[in-house]
Amino acid sequence: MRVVSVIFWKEFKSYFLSPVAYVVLTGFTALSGFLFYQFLTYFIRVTSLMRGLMVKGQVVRDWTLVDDVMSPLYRDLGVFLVVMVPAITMRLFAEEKKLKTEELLLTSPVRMGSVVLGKYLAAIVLLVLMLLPVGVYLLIVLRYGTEPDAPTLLLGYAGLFLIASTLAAIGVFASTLTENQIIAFFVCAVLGIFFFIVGMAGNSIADISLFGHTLNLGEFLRQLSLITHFSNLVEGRVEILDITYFASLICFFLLAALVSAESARRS
Amino acid sequence: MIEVEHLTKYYGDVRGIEDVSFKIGKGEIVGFLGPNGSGKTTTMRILTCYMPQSRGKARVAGFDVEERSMEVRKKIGYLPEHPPLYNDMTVRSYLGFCGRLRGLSRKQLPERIQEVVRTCALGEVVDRIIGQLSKGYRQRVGLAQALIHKPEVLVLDEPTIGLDPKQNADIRSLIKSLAGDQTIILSTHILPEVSLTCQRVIIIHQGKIVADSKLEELTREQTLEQAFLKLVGYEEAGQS
Repeated sequence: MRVVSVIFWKEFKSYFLSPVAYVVLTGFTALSGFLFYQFLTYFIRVTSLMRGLMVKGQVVRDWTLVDDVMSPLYRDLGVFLVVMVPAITMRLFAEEKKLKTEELLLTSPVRMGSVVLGKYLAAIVLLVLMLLPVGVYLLIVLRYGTEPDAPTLLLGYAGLFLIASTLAAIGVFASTLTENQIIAFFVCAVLGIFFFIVGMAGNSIADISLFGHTLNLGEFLRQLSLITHFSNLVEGRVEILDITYFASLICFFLLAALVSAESARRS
Repeated sequence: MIEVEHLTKYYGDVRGIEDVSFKIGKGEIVGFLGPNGSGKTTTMRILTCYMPQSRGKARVAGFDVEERSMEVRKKIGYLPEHPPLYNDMTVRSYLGFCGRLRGLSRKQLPERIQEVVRTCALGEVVDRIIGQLSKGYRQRVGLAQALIHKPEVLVLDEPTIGLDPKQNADIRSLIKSLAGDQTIILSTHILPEVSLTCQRVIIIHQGKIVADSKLEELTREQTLEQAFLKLVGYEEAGQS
């Protein structure tokens, strides 16, 4: 535990010693603020024109702050995270390799697991700081909206944290693979995008038969996708399965990072 | 203090070291000599638990480097060939970080930092950013890092490489001043350095030990340079 906190503080301070934290925090706040403003003004304009979403002249549902402002905002921010998170995690191990400081960590009386965890937590805390301004938009909607669906809004917000934590675990793993931060960035971004879009293949894949059992591969791919579980949260449905999904992805990639970081000894 | 028996390391099919055995007693300063690529760094990396050996045994302070790796790492202070420095930290925060990694408590830190800063003459730069320091200072910060937890064994991989003569002399006298309390093993391919600091020399060539003796014995009939060149087969190499 001591080592985790030593590594955590070193990494966390280091984010603020370089421009990384400032650039990422400013960039994300600016983009999310812009988006929120756009969705909100659109909502105000459209509610003054029509009573609800119209299909062939029929109102199929009323406009709501959840469906027409916050859910689209959450979804778009989830996509932004695919770019923001790798920028935060890419240096965690890649820089150690580049500067040869890895040798210090590997010859100190510390377990690599603690190092991985400390670095991961540093990234998570920075991501939490990054996502805090989104809470302000949430508060605005809760305070000034008419009968906003608070639990759904909060679940969607929590979903953003889960997406960020999952991508951060992928990013920590990607960073252990190379001493080149740009490669670490792209490996994380590509894996992140993969987990976002893999569910799309689910609709075009038939069931396969394996030893007499029918395997619903399409459903498997849909369940593998971040979007499926994120959508559940954004739409206010939460199941144990969704939480298990995020938790297992995080554990899987942190373990992979541990194995990969230890393997530096065998090079 | 250090016992190495039949230590062998292969990188894939490439031989790093083969059948290396030696013993180093408490308080000895041993020079580890050899041409570039002879296996000095490999041996040191096995002793410091950076990487596992292929065959053989190595013990530091009675602990096996493979089975009791954590104990060994606590006993060793290690200055790798490239000092492992974080360029964005100050010297003080870096030494604090290293001390904490080696298990010093937050209370012990200020005193330990003060001591290694004095030993390594870092007083002027202790609050500077490491990235801005000159090569000589960087090397000394690397050494301070290795000393922070009062290790019983000090492993120094080419501690004076790339330093000017004045800095070189400083590091040498620093190493000498540590003698007695600590067992020191230092590698180099700069011969005069060995005669000035070490009592004993181990010469390694193409992964094998070719000489292991007291410095006086080796230099009784010839200079260290002659002995070294003969042992690493310079004449043959010169003719081809």
